[in-house]
Amino acid sequence: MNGDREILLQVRGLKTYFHTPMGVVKAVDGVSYDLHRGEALAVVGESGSGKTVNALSVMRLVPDPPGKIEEGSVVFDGQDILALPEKTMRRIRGNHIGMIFQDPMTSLNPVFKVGDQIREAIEVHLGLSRREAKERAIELMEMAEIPMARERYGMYPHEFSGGMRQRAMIAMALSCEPKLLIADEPSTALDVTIQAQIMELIGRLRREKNLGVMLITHDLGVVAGVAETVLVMYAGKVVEYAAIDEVYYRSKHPYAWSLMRAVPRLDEKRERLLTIGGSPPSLINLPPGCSFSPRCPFAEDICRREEPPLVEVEKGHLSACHFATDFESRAGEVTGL
Amino acid sequence: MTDRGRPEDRLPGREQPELMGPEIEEFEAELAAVHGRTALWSDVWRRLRHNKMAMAGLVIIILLVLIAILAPWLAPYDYDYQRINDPNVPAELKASYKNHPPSREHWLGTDDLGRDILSRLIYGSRVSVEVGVVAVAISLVIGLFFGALAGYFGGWGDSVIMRSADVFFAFPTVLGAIAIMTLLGPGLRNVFIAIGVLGWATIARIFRGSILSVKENDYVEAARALGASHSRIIWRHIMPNAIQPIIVYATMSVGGAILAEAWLAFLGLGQQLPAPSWGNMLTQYLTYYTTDPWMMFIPGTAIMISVLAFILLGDGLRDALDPRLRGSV
Repeated sequence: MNGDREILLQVRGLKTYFHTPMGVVKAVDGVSYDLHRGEALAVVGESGSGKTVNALSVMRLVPDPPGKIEEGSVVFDGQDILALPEKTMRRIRGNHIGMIFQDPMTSLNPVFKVGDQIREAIEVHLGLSRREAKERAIELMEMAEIPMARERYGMYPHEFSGGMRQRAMIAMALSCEPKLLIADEPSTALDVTIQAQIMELIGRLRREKNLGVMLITHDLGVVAGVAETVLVMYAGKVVEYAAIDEVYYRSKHPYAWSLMRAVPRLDEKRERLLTIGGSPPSLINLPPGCSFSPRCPFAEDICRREEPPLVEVEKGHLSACHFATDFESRAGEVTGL
Repeated sequence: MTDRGRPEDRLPGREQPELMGPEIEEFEAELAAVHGRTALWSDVWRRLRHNKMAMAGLVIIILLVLIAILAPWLAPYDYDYQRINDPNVPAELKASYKNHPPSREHWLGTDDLGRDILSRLIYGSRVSVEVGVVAVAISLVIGLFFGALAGYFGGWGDSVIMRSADVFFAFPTVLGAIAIMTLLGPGLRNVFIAIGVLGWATIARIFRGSILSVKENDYVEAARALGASHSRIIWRHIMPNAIQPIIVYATMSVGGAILAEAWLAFLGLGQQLPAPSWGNMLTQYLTYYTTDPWMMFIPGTAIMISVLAFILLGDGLRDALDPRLRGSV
């Protein structure tokens, strides 16, 4: 997929483990993917599937100790990020990779004016004068569709609503024209109408600035309009990786398939929402074989014995399931479609 | 605080809104109203102002500082003017100026050498203010530095720093101060150092705890994701949010330092005579507690009022800074 575009971020065999007194938590366990310039990649999974740790690993922000990137390579824009000294890495953060967080209520420092926080980001990286940086900050706030940006420049975070704060965070993350924006559940803490606006804003900025976007979410409805490719994670591993329509309509992995079915839809009448039985496995004590097998309605003996490899089932469609090739027909039988 | 009813929520969303006429005026008025109650510190000040006890403390502290600064102009006599040894005073009157009770000439009476107690009290306030400021500043510099180091970086450095702090907690402050003074010798500067050095442990411990909770905030992570350096994160993002308990504690420990100066003076370790400090005045007047008990109450009351003022202000600050009360007044 995206064969014509330049690769911006290449992650290969990334393993990030947390060493806890209870044992080693394999939060990210051998994850590989590519993100092209201007591509929007959605990383989807439940809480604890490793999607956030994956992003923090790319930023090299995994709390160490207890976390540690054990293996793998992360190449960003031709540079091996994992080999860089911390000082160089600091220049990449904010400058080349911007990040926004889940909760805009807590991501802004309560004691500083919002505008000054955006200005600070500019001053740190671009070395502009205070006045220039201020003007740039106001431009950025306008770009992030904050009305009356000049007036709001001098306001404190508590005077902003949730949506406005997330816009301010986006302005801050994009202040130095990064090539990659990592958005960790950017709309989860917002109400639905604001969610849509924020996603649209991210989509627009991606198109205008040819920005690579990594969108981390557990809400499949949210990514539908924005993402081009989807990386589905389960228990620290990639279970399905394909273009978004492929995952939505021709999923080849029972976990991703169940996730899609669990999304409530307006055009279907359902008495109860569909769920995936059971709960995510403990990352310290993973079940043998396929991690999803205890919850999988299609599981057979082989699933409990052998871990399925991630293979390219069709061109550009990767799935880690023993029955990936004929999964669609199996799924059809179950649902009676 | 809810988000409902904020001006921006009424905006239709993606397109830049075209507000017109009265609507935009109303919007701007609302924005100005929101904008009017800015800032944490004005909030804190507003709450503090309503606290009568704290304001009383603040007024006393301001007076104390003014008295200390203006001592040469306020004091009616030189602090070392000895009326008993004044050749201009008739010999037969000299004896009456020893421990003379308050009179029109000497509002707070005279001491055993016929020195004006009011003047000595006024000059003595300089020592108290200095001890308070300098000793606490020393504690703050050491305590904040090590507290920040321990809280922010954690690990073995944290253990080493906090165990050293425990050592300082292990022996009583006064004993520690005496030990340090014995090493450094008597004198006012060494009092500052002794009290200051002994105070770092509590400040480090409070600041560490405060940082531990503040550094978990998302905005710290966000600053890191923007490529901020450790020192920038600590001093710019964590410090202003972690400093509140330190402000309260430091205010109160100024009172503690004033008290400690009196303590050390009692042992003859502080300000050396004839220069006055409230501590050495108290020590000196205690000698006469059977014959002239009024004398010891003068420096005693001054110490008590000053210490109380700092405690009242500290207490008021704690209430004013408490985030749970924020917005309730």
